[in-house]
Amino acid sequence: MDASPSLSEPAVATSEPALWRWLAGAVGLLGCAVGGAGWWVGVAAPVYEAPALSAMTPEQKSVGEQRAVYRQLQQERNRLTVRAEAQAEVERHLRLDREAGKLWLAEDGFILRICEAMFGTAIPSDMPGMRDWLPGQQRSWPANGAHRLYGRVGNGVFPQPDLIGRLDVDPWPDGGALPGNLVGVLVLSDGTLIYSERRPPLLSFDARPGTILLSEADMNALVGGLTEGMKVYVW
Amino acid sequence: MSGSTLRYTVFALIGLGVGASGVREALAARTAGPPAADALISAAPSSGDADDLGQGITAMQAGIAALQQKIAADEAASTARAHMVVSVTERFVEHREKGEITRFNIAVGKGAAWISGRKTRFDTPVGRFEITGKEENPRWQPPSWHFDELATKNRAKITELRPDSAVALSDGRTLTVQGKDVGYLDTAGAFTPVPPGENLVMDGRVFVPPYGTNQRFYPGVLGTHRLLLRDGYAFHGTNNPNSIGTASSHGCMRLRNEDIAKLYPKVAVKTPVFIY
Repeated sequence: MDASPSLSEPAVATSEPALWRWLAGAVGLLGCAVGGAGWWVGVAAPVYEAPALSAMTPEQKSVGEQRAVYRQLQQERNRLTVRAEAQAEVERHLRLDREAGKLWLAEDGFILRICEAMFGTAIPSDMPGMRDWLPGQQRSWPANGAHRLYGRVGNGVFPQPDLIGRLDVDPWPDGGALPGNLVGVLVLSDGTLIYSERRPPLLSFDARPGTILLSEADMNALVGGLTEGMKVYVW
Repeated sequence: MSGSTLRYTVFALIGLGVGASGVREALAARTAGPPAADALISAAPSSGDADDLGQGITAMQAGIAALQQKIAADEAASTARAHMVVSVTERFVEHREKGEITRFNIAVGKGAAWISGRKTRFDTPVGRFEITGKEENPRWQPPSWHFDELATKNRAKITELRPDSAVALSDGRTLTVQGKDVGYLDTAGAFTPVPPGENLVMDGRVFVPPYGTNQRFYPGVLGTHRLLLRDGYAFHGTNNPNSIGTASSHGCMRLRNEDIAKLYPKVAVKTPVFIY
Protein backbone atom coordinates (compact mmCIF):
# COMPACT_ATOMS: atom_id res chain seq x y z
CA MET A 1 0.00 0.00 0.00
CA ASP A 2 1.35 3.29 -1.06
CA ALA A 3 1.71 5.69 1.68
CA SER A 4 0.07 9.00 0.99
CA PRO A 5 2.65 11.76 0.51
CA SER A 6 0.60 13.98 2.75
CA LEU A 7 0.94 11.46 5.44
CA SER A 8 4.59 10.94 4.81
CA GLU A 9 5.45 14.70 4.94
CA PRO A 10 5.04 15.12 8.67
CA ALA A 11 7.30 12.21 9.16
CA VAL A 12 9.93 13.93 7.08
CA ALA A 13 9.28 17.31 8.77
CA THR A 14 9.54 15.97 12.23
CA SER A 15 12.61 14.10 11.33
CA GLU A 16 14.23 17.23 9.68
CA PRO A 17 16.84 18.45 12.17
CA ALA A 18 15.39 21.15 14.40
CA LEU A 19 18.85 22.60 14.14
CA TRP A 20 17.83 24.54 11.02
CA ARG A 21 15.03 26.27 12.81
CA TRP A 22 17.12 27.06 15.84
CA LEU A 23 19.91 28.28 13.64
CA ALA A 24 17.62 30.42 11.49
CA GLY A 25 15.90 31.83 14.55
CA ALA A 26 19.17 32.62 16.25
CA VAL A 27 20.57 34.30 13.16
CA GLY A 28 17.34 36.31 12.82
CA LEU A 29 17.43 37.44 16.43
CA LEU A 30 21.10 38.26 16.18
CA GLY A 31 20.44 40.23 13.04
CA CYS A 32 17.64 42.15 14.72
CA ALA A 33 19.82 42.84 17.75
CA VAL A 34 22.71 44.08 15.63
CA GLY A 35 20.31 46.09 13.49
CA GLY A 36 18.63 47.63 16.52
CA ALA A 37 21.93 48.54 18.04
CA GLY A 38 23.10 50.01 14.75
CA TRP A 39 19.91 52.01 14.39
CA TRP A 40 20.29 53.34 17.91
CA VAL A 41 23.89 54.32 17.49
CA GLY A 42 23.45 55.70 14.01
CA VAL A 43 20.03 57.29 14.09
CA ALA A 44 18.28 57.53 17.42
CA ALA A 45 21.01 58.52 19.84
CA PRO A 46 22.36 61.39 17.75
CA VAL A 47 18.90 62.92 17.76
CA TYR A 48 19.27 63.41 21.51
CA GLU A 49 22.58 65.06 20.89
CA ALA A 50 21.41 66.95 17.85
CA PRO A 51 23.08 70.32 17.55
CA ALA A 52 21.15 73.41 18.63
CA LEU A 53 18.93 74.72 15.92
CA SER A 54 20.86 77.95 15.92
CA ALA A 55 23.98 76.03 14.97
CA MET A 56 22.43 74.57 11.83
CA THR A 57 22.59 76.18 8.46
CA PRO A 58 19.36 77.64 7.11
CA GLU A 59 19.09 74.79 4.64
CA GLN A 60 18.81 72.39 7.51
CA LYS A 61 15.52 73.62 8.71
CA SER A 62 11.97 73.56 7.63
CA VAL A 63 10.12 76.83 7.28
CA GLY A 64 8.37 76.41 10.60
CA GLU A 65 11.57 75.57 12.34
CA GLN A 66 13.30 78.42 10.63
CA ARG A 67 10.70 80.85 11.89
CA ALA A 68 11.20 79.55 15.41
CA VAL A 69 14.93 79.79 14.97
CA TYR A 70 14.62 83.30 13.60
CA ARG A 71 12.60 84.41 16.62
CA GLN A 72 15.05 82.73 18.94
CA LEU A 73 17.95 84.44 17.21
CA GLN A 74 16.12 87.75 17.24
CA GLN A 75 15.66 87.40 20.99
CA GLU A 76 19.32 86.54 21.40
CA ARG A 77 20.35 89.52 19.30
CA ASN A 78 18.13 91.80 21.38
CA ARG A 79 19.68 90.45 24.56
CA LEU A 80 23.16 91.01 23.21
CA THR A 81 22.26 94.48 21.97
CA VAL A 82 21.10 95.49 25.43
CA ARG A 83 24.20 93.92 26.94
CA ALA A 84 26.42 95.83 24.52
CA GLU A 85 24.60 99.06 25.39
CA ALA A 86 25.16 98.34 29.06
CA GLN A 87 28.82 97.67 28.42
CA ALA A 88 29.10 101.08 26.76
CA GLU A 89 27.24 102.88 29.57
CA VAL A 90 29.52 105.32 31.31
CA GLU A 91 27.35 106.08 34.33
CA ARG A 92 26.83 103.71 37.22
CA HIS A 93 24.01 101.31 36.41
CA LEU A 94 22.49 97.93 37.11
CA ARG A 95 22.35 94.98 34.77
CA LEU A 96 19.88 92.17 35.14
CA ASP A 97 20.78 88.97 33.37
CA ARG A 98 17.65 86.89 33.71
CA GLU A 99 19.08 83.78 32.13
CA ALA A 100 22.15 83.74 34.35
CA GLY A 101 20.17 84.85 37.41
CA LYS A 102 22.58 87.70 38.09
CA LEU A 103 22.38 91.34 38.97
CA TRP A 104 25.47 93.39 38.18
CA LEU A 105 26.50 96.77 39.46
CA ALA A 106 28.62 98.31 36.74
CA GLU A 107 30.09 101.60 35.60
CA ASP A 108 31.97 102.64 32.52
CA GLY A 109 32.46 99.06 31.39
CA PHE A 110 33.76 97.91 34.76
CA ILE A 111 31.85 95.33 36.76
CA LEU A 112 31.84 96.51 40.35
CA ARG A 113 29.80 93.70 41.83
CA ILE A 114 27.99 90.58 40.70
CA CYS A 115 25.05 89.46 42.83
CA GLU A 116 23.09 86.24 42.70
CA ALA A 117 19.51 87.21 41.93
CA MET A 118 16.47 85.01 42.21
CA PHE A 119 13.83 85.98 39.71
CA GLY A 120 10.35 85.40 41.06
CA THR A 121 8.01 83.44 38.87
CA ALA A 122 4.25 83.33 38.74
CA ILE A 123 2.77 81.25 41.50
CA PRO A 124 -0.57 79.51 40.97
CA SER A 125 -3.39 81.42 42.62
CA ASP A 126 -4.63 78.34 44.40
CA MET A 127 -1.36 77.71 46.16
CA PRO A 128 -2.10 78.12 49.85
CA GLY A 129 -0.70 81.28 51.31
CA MET A 130 0.34 82.71 47.97
CA ARG A 131 -2.85 84.40 46.91
CA ASP A 132 -1.87 87.64 48.56
CA TRP A 133 1.10 87.92 46.29
CA LEU A 134 -0.80 87.99 43.07
CA PRO A 135 -1.42 91.21 41.20
CA GLY A 136 -4.49 93.07 42.29
CA GLN A 137 -4.17 92.02 45.88
CA GLN A 138 -3.53 94.68 48.47
CA ARG A 139 -3.45 92.43 51.51
CA SER A 140 -0.10 90.90 51.89
CA TRP A 141 2.73 89.52 53.92
CA PRO A 142 4.13 90.73 56.18
CA ALA A 143 1.15 92.32 57.80
CA ASN A 144 3.04 95.24 59.27
CA GLY A 145 3.02 97.61 56.38
CA ALA A 146 4.60 95.86 53.45
CA HIS A 147 1.34 96.20 51.59
CA ARG A 148 2.53 99.64 50.61
CA LEU A 149 5.13 97.89 48.54
CA TYR A 150 2.91 95.36 46.98
CA GLY A 151 0.11 97.80 46.48
CA ARG A 152 2.29 99.17 43.76
CA VAL A 153 2.40 95.82 42.10
CA GLY A 154 -1.30 95.41 42.69
CA ASN A 155 -2.17 98.70 41.06
CA GLY A 156 -1.85 97.23 37.64
CA VAL A 157 1.84 97.68 37.18
CA PHE A 158 3.25 94.24 36.99
CA PRO A 159 6.77 93.31 36.02
CA GLN A 160 7.29 92.07 32.55
CA PRO A 161 8.76 88.60 32.82
CA ASP A 162 10.24 88.65 29.33
CA LEU A 163 11.41 92.25 29.24
CA ILE A 164 14.57 92.98 27.33
CA GLY A 165 15.45 96.63 27.47
CA ARG A 166 16.05 99.48 29.89
CA LEU A 167 14.36 100.51 33.11
CA ASP A 168 15.18 103.04 35.80
CA VAL A 169 15.40 102.90 39.56
CA ASP A 170 12.35 104.71 40.90
CA PRO A 171 12.19 106.49 44.24
CA TRP A 172 11.06 104.42 47.16
CA PRO A 173 7.33 105.24 47.28
CA ASP A 174 7.10 106.38 50.86
CA GLY A 175 10.63 107.55 51.26
CA GLY A 176 10.58 106.24 54.78
CA ALA A 177 11.77 103.26 56.74
CA LEU A 178 11.44 99.84 55.22
CA PRO A 179 8.63 97.72 56.54
CA GLY A 180 8.89 94.30 58.08
CA ASN A 181 11.88 92.11 57.50
CA LEU A 182 12.99 93.95 54.44
CA VAL A 183 16.65 94.81 54.30
CA GLY A 184 16.36 96.91 51.22
CA VAL A 185 14.08 97.52 48.28
CA LEU A 186 14.58 98.97 44.86
CA VAL A 187 11.56 99.81 42.80
CA LEU A 188 12.09 99.75 39.07
CA SER A 189 10.11 101.84 36.65
CA ASP A 190 7.98 98.91 35.50
CA GLY A 191 7.02 98.07 39.07
CA THR A 192 9.54 95.30 39.53
CA LEU A 193 10.79 95.10 43.08
CA ILE A 194 14.31 94.10 43.87
CA TYR A 195 14.39 93.26 47.52
CA SER A 196 16.05 91.37 50.31
CA GLU A 197 14.70 90.32 53.62
CA ARG A 198 15.90 88.93 56.90
CA ARG A 199 14.58 85.41 57.04
CA PRO A 200 15.92 81.96 57.73
CA PRO A 201 17.92 80.93 54.68
CA LEU A 202 15.70 78.01 53.74
CA LEU A 203 12.67 80.23 53.50
CA SER A 204 14.47 82.63 51.25
CA PHE A 205 14.32 80.33 48.28
CA ASP A 206 11.04 81.67 47.06
CA ALA A 207 11.32 84.99 45.34
CA ARG A 208 7.89 86.56 45.26
CA PRO A 209 6.23 86.61 41.89
CA GLY A 210 7.24 89.63 39.91
CA THR A 211 10.14 90.39 42.21
CA ILE A 212 13.83 89.79 42.32
CA LEU A 213 15.33 88.53 45.54
CA LEU A 214 18.88 89.33 46.54
CA SER A 215 20.88 88.11 49.48
CA GLU A 216 21.00 90.34 52.50
CA ALA A 217 24.75 90.89 52.06
CA ASP A 218 24.38 91.90 48.44
CA MET A 219 21.51 94.26 49.13
CA ASN A 220 23.35 95.87 52.03
CA ALA A 221 26.40 96.34 49.85
CA LEU A 222 24.42 97.70 46.92
CA VAL A 223 22.11 100.20 48.50
CA GLY A 224 24.81 102.73 49.29
CA GLY A 225 25.90 102.91 45.69
CA LEU A 226 22.48 103.30 44.10
CA THR A 227 20.63 106.42 43.19
CA GLU A 228 17.19 107.26 41.92
CA GLY A 229 16.96 107.39 38.17
CA MET A 230 19.85 105.00 37.78
CA LYS A 231 19.55 102.99 34.58
CA VAL A 232 18.80 99.31 34.73
CA TYR A 233 19.59 97.19 31.67
CA VAL A 234 17.57 94.01 31.55
CA TRP A 235 18.15 91.06 29.29
CA MET B 1 13.35 22.56 2.23
CA SER B 2 10.07 22.65 4.07
CA GLY B 3 7.83 25.76 4.30
CA SER B 4 8.61 26.39 7.94
CA THR B 5 12.32 26.16 7.35
CA LEU B 6 11.87 28.67 4.56
CA ARG B 7 10.02 31.04 6.89
CA TYR B 8 12.76 30.84 9.50
CA THR B 9 15.38 31.41 6.85
CA VAL B 10 13.53 34.50 5.53
CA PHE B 11 13.22 35.77 9.11
CA ALA B 12 16.92 35.31 9.60
CA LEU B 13 17.71 37.10 6.36
CA ILE B 14 15.45 40.04 7.29
CA GLY B 15 17.14 40.21 10.67
CA LEU B 16 20.52 40.26 9.03
CA GLY B 17 19.32 42.92 6.60
CA VAL B 18 18.09 45.13 9.42
CA GLY B 19 21.35 44.59 11.24
CA ALA B 20 23.44 45.47 8.21
CA SER B 21 21.32 48.55 7.55
CA GLY B 22 21.68 49.72 11.14
CA VAL B 23 25.40 49.23 11.09
CA ARG B 24 25.65 51.04 7.76
CA GLU B 25 23.65 53.99 9.09
CA ALA B 26 25.77 54.09 12.20
CA LEU B 27 28.93 54.19 10.14
CA ALA B 28 27.46 56.81 7.83
CA ALA B 29 26.43 58.90 10.81
CA ARG B 30 29.93 58.82 12.21
CA THR B 31 31.45 59.99 8.94
CA ALA B 32 28.78 62.25 7.47
CA GLY B 33 27.41 64.16 10.49
CA PRO B 34 24.21 63.92 12.50
CA PRO B 35 21.39 62.13 10.75
CA ALA B 36 18.91 64.52 12.35
CA ALA B 37 20.49 67.39 10.46
CA ASP B 38 20.61 65.33 7.30
CA ALA B 39 16.95 64.57 7.67
CA LEU B 40 16.18 68.24 8.09
CA ILE B 41 18.21 69.15 5.04
CA SER B 42 16.22 66.79 2.91
CA ALA B 43 12.98 68.03 4.46
CA ALA B 44 13.76 71.75 3.95
CA PRO B 45 11.60 73.24 1.25
CA SER B 46 13.09 75.43 -1.42
CA SER B 47 10.32 78.01 -1.46
CA GLY B 48 11.03 81.75 -1.53
CA ASP B 49 9.78 82.07 2.07
CA ALA B 50 12.30 79.56 3.25
CA ASP B 51 15.03 81.31 1.31
CA ASP B 52 14.11 84.67 2.84
CA LEU B 53 14.06 83.15 6.28
CA GLY B 54 17.32 81.44 5.57
CA GLN B 55 18.93 84.70 4.55
CA GLY B 56 17.44 86.42 7.59
CA ILE B 57 18.82 83.72 9.84
CA THR B 58 22.22 83.94 8.26
CA ALA B 59 22.26 87.71 8.69
CA MET B 60 21.03 87.38 12.26
CA GLN B 61 23.71 84.82 13.07
CA ALA B 62 26.34 87.13 11.64
CA GLY B 63 24.98 90.03 13.69
CA ILE B 64 24.98 87.92 16.83
CA ALA B 65 28.51 86.75 16.22
CA ALA B 66 29.64 90.35 15.72
CA LEU B 67 27.88 91.45 18.92
CA GLN B 68 29.36 88.56 20.88
CA GLN B 69 32.82 89.46 19.66
CA LYS B 70 32.36 93.11 20.52
CA ILE B 71 31.03 92.37 23.99
CA ALA B 72 33.78 89.85 24.67
CA ALA B 73 36.42 92.30 23.47
CA ASP B 74 34.98 95.19 25.50
CA GLU B 75 34.65 93.09 28.64
CA ALA B 76 38.15 91.72 28.24
CA ALA B 77 39.50 95.24 27.79
CA SER B 78 37.74 96.40 30.96
CA THR B 79 38.96 93.41 32.91
CA ALA B 80 42.52 94.05 31.79
CA ARG B 81 42.48 97.75 32.72
CA ALA B 82 43.73 98.54 36.20
CA HIS B 83 41.03 99.86 38.49
CA MET B 84 40.04 99.83 42.14
CA VAL B 85 36.68 98.95 43.65
CA VAL B 86 35.64 99.77 47.21
CA SER B 87 32.69 98.31 49.05
CA VAL B 88 31.96 100.68 51.91
CA THR B 89 29.48 98.32 53.56
CA GLU B 90 31.81 95.35 53.44
CA ARG B 91 34.87 97.49 54.12
CA PHE B 92 37.26 96.25 51.52
CA VAL B 93 39.16 97.63 48.57
CA GLU B 94 40.08 95.53 45.58
CA HIS B 95 42.79 96.29 43.11
CA ARG B 96 41.97 94.64 39.79
CA GLU B 97 44.18 94.36 36.78
CA LYS B 98 44.45 91.79 33.98
CA GLY B 99 41.95 89.56 35.74
CA GLU B 100 43.98 89.54 38.94
CA ILE B 101 42.20 90.78 42.06
CA THR B 102 43.91 91.78 45.29
CA ARG B 103 41.66 92.58 48.24
CA PHE B 104 42.48 94.48 51.43
CA ASN B 105 40.34 95.24 54.44
CA ILE B 106 39.84 98.90 55.25
CA ALA B 107 38.33 101.24 57.80
CA VAL B 108 35.70 103.58 56.42
CA GLY B 109 33.91 106.74 57.49
CA LYS B 110 32.19 106.58 60.83
CA GLY B 111 29.01 108.32 59.74
CA ALA B 112 27.24 110.75 62.02
CA ALA B 113 29.04 112.35 64.96
CA TRP B 114 28.28 115.23 67.30
CA ILE B 115 30.95 117.90 67.25
CA SER B 116 30.64 121.22 69.08
CA GLY B 117 26.93 120.62 69.42
CA ARG B 118 26.45 120.05 65.71
CA LYS B 119 25.68 116.78 64.00
CA THR B 120 28.40 116.18 61.45
CA ARG B 121 28.72 113.31 58.97
CA PHE B 122 31.97 111.58 58.23
CA ASP B 123 31.05 109.28 55.36
CA THR B 124 33.27 107.64 52.82
CA PRO B 125 31.98 109.11 49.58
CA VAL B 126 30.54 106.84 46.89
CA GLY B 127 30.97 107.38 43.19
CA ARG B 128 33.76 107.47 40.69
CA PHE B 129 37.15 108.85 41.61
CA GLU B 130 40.69 108.51 40.38
CA ILE B 131 44.07 108.48 42.02
CA THR B 132 45.37 112.02 41.86
CA GLY B 133 48.65 111.59 43.69
CA LYS B 134 50.90 109.26 45.65
CA GLU B 135 52.89 110.00 48.77
CA GLU B 136 55.34 108.06 50.90
CA ASN B 137 55.65 108.78 54.63
CA PRO B 138 52.77 111.23 54.47
CA ARG B 139 52.23 113.80 57.16
CA TRP B 140 48.73 114.52 58.26
CA GLN B 141 47.63 118.14 58.35
CA PRO B 142 44.43 117.89 60.39
CA PRO B 143 41.41 119.77 59.12
CA SER B 144 39.44 121.98 61.49
CA TRP B 145 37.16 119.11 62.52
CA HIS B 146 40.06 117.48 64.32
CA PHE B 147 40.38 120.46 66.65
CA ASP B 148 36.61 120.66 66.98
CA GLU B 149 36.61 117.01 68.10
CA LEU B 150 39.41 117.71 70.57
CA ALA B 151 37.53 120.68 71.97
CA THR B 152 34.34 118.67 72.33
CA LYS B 153 36.15 115.79 73.96
CA ASN B 154 38.02 118.04 76.43
CA ARG B 155 35.19 120.53 76.89
CA ALA B 156 37.62 123.21 75.84
CA LYS B 157 37.53 126.30 73.68
CA ILE B 158 39.47 126.63 70.45
CA THR B 159 42.22 129.20 70.09
CA GLU B 160 43.84 129.54 66.70
CA LEU B 161 47.46 130.60 66.95
CA ARG B 162 48.89 133.13 64.53
CA PRO B 163 52.57 133.59 63.58
CA ASP B 164 52.85 136.43 66.12
CA SER B 165 50.87 134.75 68.91
CA ALA B 166 52.24 134.62 72.45
CA VAL B 167 49.84 133.08 74.96
CA ALA B 168 50.72 133.14 78.66
CA LEU B 169 49.96 129.75 80.25
CA SER B 170 48.99 129.09 83.88
CA ASP B 171 52.29 127.22 84.50
CA GLY B 172 54.31 130.36 83.77
CA ARG B 173 55.42 129.38 80.27
CA THR B 174 54.39 131.16 77.10
CA LEU B 175 53.06 129.35 74.06
CA THR B 176 54.48 131.08 71.05
CA VAL B 177 55.44 130.69 67.41
CA GLN B 178 59.02 131.07 66.29
CA GLY B 179 59.65 130.62 62.58
CA LYS B 180 58.25 127.22 61.54
CA ASP B 181 57.78 126.00 65.10
CA VAL B 182 55.22 126.35 67.83
CA GLY B 183 56.81 125.94 71.27
CA TYR B 184 57.11 126.97 74.84
CA LEU B 185 59.12 129.92 76.04
CA ASP B 186 60.19 129.39 79.64
CA THR B 187 60.82 132.12 82.18
CA ALA B 188 64.54 132.06 81.32
CA GLY B 189 63.71 132.83 77.68
CA ALA B 190 64.59 129.37 76.33
CA PHE B 191 62.39 128.14 73.47
CA THR B 192 61.38 124.45 73.23
CA PRO B 193 59.43 123.36 70.18
CA VAL B 194 56.37 121.18 70.74
CA PRO B 195 56.93 117.68 69.29
CA PRO B 196 54.94 117.43 66.04
CA GLY B 197 51.78 115.37 66.50
CA GLU B 198 51.21 116.47 70.06
CA ASN B 199 47.82 117.99 70.73
CA LEU B 200 47.97 121.40 72.39
CA VAL B 201 45.25 121.12 75.03
CA MET B 202 45.83 123.16 78.16
CA ASP B 203 44.17 125.74 80.37
CA GLY B 204 40.74 124.74 79.04
CA ARG B 205 41.76 125.55 75.50
CA VAL B 206 42.70 123.70 72.32
CA PHE B 207 45.42 125.59 70.47
CA VAL B 208 45.50 125.26 66.72
CA PRO B 209 49.00 125.69 65.24
CA PRO B 210 49.19 127.99 62.23
CA TYR B 211 49.33 126.46 58.77
CA GLY B 212 52.87 125.95 57.60
CA THR B 213 54.35 125.24 61.04
CA ASN B 214 55.84 121.85 61.83
CA GLN B 215 53.34 121.38 64.64
CA ARG B 216 50.45 121.63 62.20
CA PHE B 217 51.59 118.29 60.72
CA TYR B 218 51.05 114.96 62.48
CA PRO B 219 53.57 112.33 61.44
CA GLY B 220 52.66 108.62 61.49
CA VAL B 221 48.91 109.09 61.66
CA LEU B 222 48.55 108.24 57.96
CA GLY B 223 50.94 105.31 58.12
CA THR B 224 53.57 104.69 55.53
CA HIS B 225 51.84 105.58 52.26
CA ARG B 226 48.97 107.62 50.91
CA LEU B 227 47.05 107.41 47.64
CA LEU B 228 45.20 110.66 47.11
CA LEU B 229 41.75 110.97 45.63
CA ARG B 230 40.03 114.38 45.72
CA ASP B 231 38.43 116.67 48.29
CA GLY B 232 40.90 115.47 50.90
CA TYR B 233 39.87 111.81 50.66
CA ALA B 234 42.56 109.16 50.32
CA PHE B 235 43.67 105.62 50.93
CA HIS B 236 46.34 105.59 53.59
CA GLY B 237 47.96 103.53 56.30
CA THR B 238 47.37 104.01 59.99
CA ASN B 239 48.89 104.15 63.45
CA ASN B 240 45.78 102.36 64.73
CA PRO B 241 45.65 98.96 63.00
CA ASN B 242 42.88 97.78 65.31
CA SER B 243 40.53 100.16 63.58
CA ILE B 244 40.72 98.26 60.27
CA GLY B 245 37.39 96.66 59.47
CA THR B 246 35.43 99.26 61.39
CA ALA B 247 33.60 102.46 60.54
CA SER B 248 35.92 104.82 62.36
CA SER B 249 37.58 107.17 59.91
CA HIS B 250 36.57 110.62 58.86
CA GLY B 251 35.87 109.45 55.33
CA CYS B 252 39.28 108.25 54.20
CA MET B 253 39.95 104.56 53.65
CA ARG B 254 42.53 103.28 56.10
CA LEU B 255 44.58 100.19 55.46
CA ARG B 256 47.11 98.41 57.61
CA ASN B 257 50.59 99.74 56.86
CA GLU B 258 51.71 96.43 55.39
CA ASP B 259 48.66 96.39 53.12
CA ILE B 260 49.03 99.95 51.84
CA ALA B 261 52.68 99.15 51.20
CA LYS B 262 51.58 96.26 48.97
CA LEU B 263 48.89 98.29 47.24
CA TYR B 264 51.00 101.40 46.68
CA PRO B 265 53.31 100.11 43.92
CA LYS B 266 50.39 98.54 42.02
CA VAL B 267 48.53 101.80 41.66
CA ALA B 268 49.34 104.46 39.11
CA VAL B 269 48.13 108.04 39.12
CA LYS B 270 44.85 108.33 37.18
CA THR B 271 43.78 104.78 38.11
CA PRO B 272 39.97 104.86 38.30
CA VAL B 273 38.45 104.13 41.70
CA PHE B 274 34.82 103.06 42.05
CA ILE B 275 33.32 103.33 45.51
CA TYR B 276 29.90 101.87 46.29
